[in-house]
This record gives sequence, C-alpha cells and structure tokens, in this order.
Amino acid sequence: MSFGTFGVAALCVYLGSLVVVAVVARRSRRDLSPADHFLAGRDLGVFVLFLTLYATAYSGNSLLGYPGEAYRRGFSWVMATGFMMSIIVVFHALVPRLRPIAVSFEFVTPGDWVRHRFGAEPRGGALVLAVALLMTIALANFLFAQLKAMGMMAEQVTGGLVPYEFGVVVLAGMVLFYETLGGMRAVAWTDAVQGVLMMLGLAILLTWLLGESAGLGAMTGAIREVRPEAVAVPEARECANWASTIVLLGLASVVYPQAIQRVYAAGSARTLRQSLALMTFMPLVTTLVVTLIGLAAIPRFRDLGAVEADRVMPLLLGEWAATGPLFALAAVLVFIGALAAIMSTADSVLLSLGSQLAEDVLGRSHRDDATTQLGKRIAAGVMIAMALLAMVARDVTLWGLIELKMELLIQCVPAFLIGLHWRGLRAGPALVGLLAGAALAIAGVFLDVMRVGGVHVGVIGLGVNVAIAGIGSLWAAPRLAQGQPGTSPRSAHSS
Amino acid sequence: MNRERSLRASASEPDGRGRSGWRRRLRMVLLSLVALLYVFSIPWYRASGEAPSLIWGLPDWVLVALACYVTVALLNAIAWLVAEVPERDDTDDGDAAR
Repeated sequence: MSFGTFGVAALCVYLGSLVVVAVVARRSRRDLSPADHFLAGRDLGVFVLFLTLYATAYSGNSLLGYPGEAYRRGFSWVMATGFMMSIIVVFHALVPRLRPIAVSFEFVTPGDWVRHRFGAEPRGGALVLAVALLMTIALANFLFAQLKAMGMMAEQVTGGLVPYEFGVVVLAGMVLFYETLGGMRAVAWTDAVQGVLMMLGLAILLTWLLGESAGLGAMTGAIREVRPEAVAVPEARECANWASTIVLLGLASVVYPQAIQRVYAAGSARTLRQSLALMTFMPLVTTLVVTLIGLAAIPRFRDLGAVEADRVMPLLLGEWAATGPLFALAAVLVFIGALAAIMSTADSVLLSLGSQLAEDVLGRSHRDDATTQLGKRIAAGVMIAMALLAMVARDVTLWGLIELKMELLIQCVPAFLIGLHWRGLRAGPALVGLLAGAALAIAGVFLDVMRVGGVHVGVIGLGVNVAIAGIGSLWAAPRLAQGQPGTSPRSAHSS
Repeated sequence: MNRERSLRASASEPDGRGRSGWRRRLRMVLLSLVALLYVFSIPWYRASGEAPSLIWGLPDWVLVALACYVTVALLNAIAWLVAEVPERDDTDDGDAAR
C-alpha cells in the first residue's frame, strides 16, 4: 500500500469517527437554546475542557506556521514556547473576575460582558459593536488560515491524491456538518479526540527527528554549519521583537472569543482552574516540539522561500514516509494529528463566529432559541466565503496572518482586562482608544510597516489605545461626580 | 441597582473576602516571579551575534530561555491551583444583565 493510499484510508477513518462523535453529541443535547448549542450547556468537565482548550489553542498556525517560522528565524523562535505560555499567565487577569459574572448573568458571547459592563453608558452600544466587529474580522482571518492549512495537509497526507482545493471543500464541509449538528458539545468532544491525536503525532515525530539527527548536539552543529546566524545570540531588534511578541500574543489571545467562551462553558470554577494549570505545560510538549521540527529542517532543506517554509513539516513527513511502509504509516498518523489540530481550531472559530454575529452584531437575544438557528446559518455562510477565499489566495504566510489577527484583536484588551479591574473606565474613551489602536494597526498593514524597531505596530497601537481610554476616563470622572446629564452610568441605565 | 452592585464587585473589590489572604499573596508572589523570568528569558543582556557555547546540545542562551519557561510553567500551574475563582458573582440576586 502506498503512502497516498494509507493517507486516504486514514483520512476516511478519521472523518468517520468525527461523524460518530457529532451524532452522539447531537443526541446528548438538552434543548435548542444558544447556551446549550454554543456552550454545551456550561457543563464541560476537566478532561474535555483541557483537551478542547488545548486543541483550540494549537492550530494550523502552530503546526505549520511555527515550524516555518523556526526555519526562517532559527533558535530565537524558542520565543514561541514563551509566548504560548504567556497566554495562560495573562488569563489570571481575566478568569477570576469574568467567570463568576459570566455564570451569574448567563453570558454566551464575549460581547455579553462588554454589554453588561458598558451597555448602559453613552456610546456603550457602539463599543459593543466595535469589539464584536474587530473580533469577527480577527476570527474570519483565523478561519481562513485554518482552511488554507487544511487544504495543504489533505494534499500532503494523501500524497497528492486529494488536491488542495478539494481538501479545503471536503474538510470545511465536515467541520460545518459536525458543528451544526452538535454545537459546542460536538466541537469539544471532537477536540478531545483531535487533541489526543495531536499529542500522539508530535511524540512520534519528535522521537523520529532526534533519532535521525543523532541527538540535539548534532542537529545544532549541522544548523550552525549551514546558517551560523540561526544559532548565534539574536540582535537587539530580534530581542525587542521577542518581548513584543510575548505581549502581543499573551494579551491578544486571552480575548480570543473561542477562549472566552470556554471560560463560560466550564462545568465549574474548579474545573477551569485545573484545566488551566494543565494547559500551562502544553507549550513545552507542543510549541517546543514544532520549533525543533522547524530547526531540524534548516540543514535538510536549504533554500525554501518565505511561503514555502510553511511546508517544512509536510516535507519532513514526506521524507520520513519514503523510508519504508511502517514509517509511512507513522507519518500518516502524524499528518492526521496535525489535521486534527487544524480542524479543531476551525470548528471552535466557526462556532464563535456564528454566536457573535447573531448576538453582538445583529443584536439577537442569548435567551432566544431562534438565535441558535441564525448562528448556524451565519456560520455556514462565513465558512463558504472563507473556503472560496482559501482556494484562491494561497500565497500568504501563516505567521503573517497570525500577526495581523493579533494586532487587531489586542485592541479589544482594555474593554476586558481594564474594564474588569477598573470601575472608572468609561465606554466613550474606551471606544475612541479602540478605534485609534485599530486604525494604527491597519495603517501599518497598508503601509507595510508591521514593526517599529522590532515592536509590533499593534502593540504600539495598544499603548495609544490604553492612554486614550485611561486619560479620557479620568477626564470624564469629575464630570461624573458633578452629575452632568448623559455622563453617569446610572442615569444612562435608567434612560 | 443590582447591575451596579455587580460591576462594583467585579471591578473594585478584591477576589474573595479576606479569608484566604495567604492564597492571594502567594499567587501575587508567584506571578511576580513569572514576570521576572520572562524578562530574563530574552537574551538582551548578551552581545548580539555572539557565537554561543553548546550545553546539552543547545546554544546556552536557548537553554537559559527554556529553563525560564519550564520554571514559569511550574509557578503558573501552582498559581492556578491556589487561585480563587468564585463560582458565581456574590452580589447576583437573579437580575439579568440586560
């Protein structure tokens, strides 16, 4: 049996198992409410919550984009282990405050918090809408990246028997199928299967790589010979970028709508704490492994271009598979694990997009069963649009997409982290700050200035955003104290 | 009024009611150490472009970064285990946010 045939067979078994899980999840639903569909009835246990957090956090970007970036940058990409861990650190500023309020007031989307906190103030509604739109743009970008990675993986795992475009369509259809059928329950359960597959695949791959390279020392020696700068102490600019990326990813990732919805969906606060304690170790067994994979590719594939570097993992697996039928089977397992990681992120993003557009953008109630149906229809529409885009726009680096998404998403941070900790934050200044930060990040994209001295434009935008929100709120405080009309939250609430 | 009370509880009062002060202090110490470890994980204190020595097969600055991140993982896990996350907002008496 050839590698491609192995791949097609394994892909069919994997997709078949997802159908079974989705059907079981569908039968387990309690009602048609948005809370049951989008949050699995707020009843996720430690094991499933941990695996769904894991499978959602580690995506096509992690498994394809990160090895590609390690290949491009060298050992300084060890920063990825740090920034993935920083997400779980920054969650300390969000979870202990947001979770109890979310449970008490039955939040379904991130926008429910913004509405709860700022909705009664002047310009509170506009802030809810701005946050929702920014998150939607970031999520759509994220979904596009996953679909692109899915197509690449399907093509590789089947040895080209399934073309990229066909892979995008079939796998997007499968995600849409189980997400529509079983909602968050199906997503979380398939995530659990996918998380286990991903861990298994990475463990096999790392064992093979280290064996092949005759250990870490030999691998580093080979890299130094081919590209000494990949091993040398990074320059000041790269160090600044390292710090900036930790800030960017750490802050922006905690306001990922799908992450916030998992905070809402946990069965209990204890479950959530235990899952997050476990999650903090996962960068060491996932991000670090994919970084080593990218590094190992440096002496093996010497002249890959920027976009081509995203293919280092498939290229390595292809090389491995060619060494014998047993290795081909193992390589197929790794491919399926990687595909599982990508699909698990795509399904979570899709679920969040549906709920967010229905509730926060179109203003439907999170207590109305019709919102669930609307969310499903919206998710289907977005999936079709992004799949079409993924088929025509292949020449974009995955890391480039992550940075763009994060630079927009990070502008939502003040509405959550500062809003949770400082009662003085007002909706108007928070809105102006968010718009200014986002404008700066978007201008950076159009002017092709993504970093200044190694610091992301989005992080600079966040500085501007926080300054405007903070100073503006302080300036508004005396007016509040004087009780001027239109400035008091209470008066706004009662009006 | 309920909403106002809830906002006040979420934004101005400390976590918990003072019963587990040591937990909060321990968590703050752990998170401060985590912040320091992040600062030292980045090799800003080394000369740019310097050829490193290899320890256990890795460049020394990479090993320092990894040691920092392993320690961050341990401290952060403990911080999560001692963190106080109330099950519900104590000020809630059933009023909906909207």
